[in-house]
Amino acid sequence: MTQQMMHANQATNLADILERVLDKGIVIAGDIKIQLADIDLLNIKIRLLIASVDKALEMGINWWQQDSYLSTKAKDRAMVNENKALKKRLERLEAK
Amino acid sequence: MLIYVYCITNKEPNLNGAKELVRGLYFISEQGLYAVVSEEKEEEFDQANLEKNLSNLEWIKQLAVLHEKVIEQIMEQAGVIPFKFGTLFNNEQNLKAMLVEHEDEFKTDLDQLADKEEWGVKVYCDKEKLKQTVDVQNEEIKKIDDEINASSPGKAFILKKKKEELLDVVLSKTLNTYIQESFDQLGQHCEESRLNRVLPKEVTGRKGEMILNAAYLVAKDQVTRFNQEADRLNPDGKEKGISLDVSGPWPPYNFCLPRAKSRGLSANKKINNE
Repeated sequence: MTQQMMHANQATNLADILERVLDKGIVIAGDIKIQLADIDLLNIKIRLLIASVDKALEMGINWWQQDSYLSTKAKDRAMVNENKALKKRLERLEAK
Repeated sequence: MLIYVYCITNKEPNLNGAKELVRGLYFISEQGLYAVVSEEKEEEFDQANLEKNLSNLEWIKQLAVLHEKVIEQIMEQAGVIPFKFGTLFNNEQNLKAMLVEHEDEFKTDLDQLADKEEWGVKVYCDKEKLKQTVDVQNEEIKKIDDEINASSPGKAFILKKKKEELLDVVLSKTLNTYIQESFDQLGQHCEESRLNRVLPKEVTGRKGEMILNAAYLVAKDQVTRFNQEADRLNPDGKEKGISLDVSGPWPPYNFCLPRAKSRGLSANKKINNE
């Protein structure tokens, strides 16, 4: 009972509902195919659901990406390589 | 008329309450399973109108909310398997054929979901506020602040930049640790957990960024513990710039396994539309 109350009191956000009803729940192909993802709902999905993994990354929240360490490393390495290449080029240019 | 499916359950549902939400609500039973359904006008879902309706945010909003509210009523009485929005059948026979085809999976799922509830946890972060608290707590940052005060304007400018960078690092560390800990701690009071994509600000309408969006399947006798843990993890939100919001109980949307798309086509063919 009290749990039910809590549900109501917390004024379940519309986004909470849409997120679940449109995107989750069991998927059974009925007689009518509503391709939620294909039709214009896409536009809602973009507005509502599609990911803000980017935003999270912006904030430095990347702990669930298991390869985040590697990918940061890879980025560093790419930068080091680029630096080296640029330095060499500079040396060549200065030598002329 | 089309048949729209909300959810299925394994106990004869009392629809008195839910009927106030959707007048034509009824159930169709087969093999001890009960599908809670309503009749919908075909026009709403035919090719031409469907596309129009689906681009109408209000239409979707209304139906989605009803979908949720109906299932909430049923789940007060028994375990449910919530269907995704927009599962429609041409007639009762086709729906029954679907129940027969998936009988075992549905029953297994309902058994596994019995006495469990879905709870949602979202963590929001107001980065600017959090920066301020980090600002006064972190020793390294205090040191830079002192240096800034004692420096010439030029040097101070560079130091300020350095401070910003350092703040960002400290901030992500603090957040990462917090999120990881929260997710794990709450995980100890649940049967299963799911990590969902964070929703953008435009959707949440919150000042802070959503930084964690998780769903937990919690045994009913653990719900109090789960909520206590969530309370404990919630820092003094306003002061620290982090807040952890709990919502629930939800129908177990996040804990129904996605089913194969195929369906008893033979059964479908045999039964023609009237």
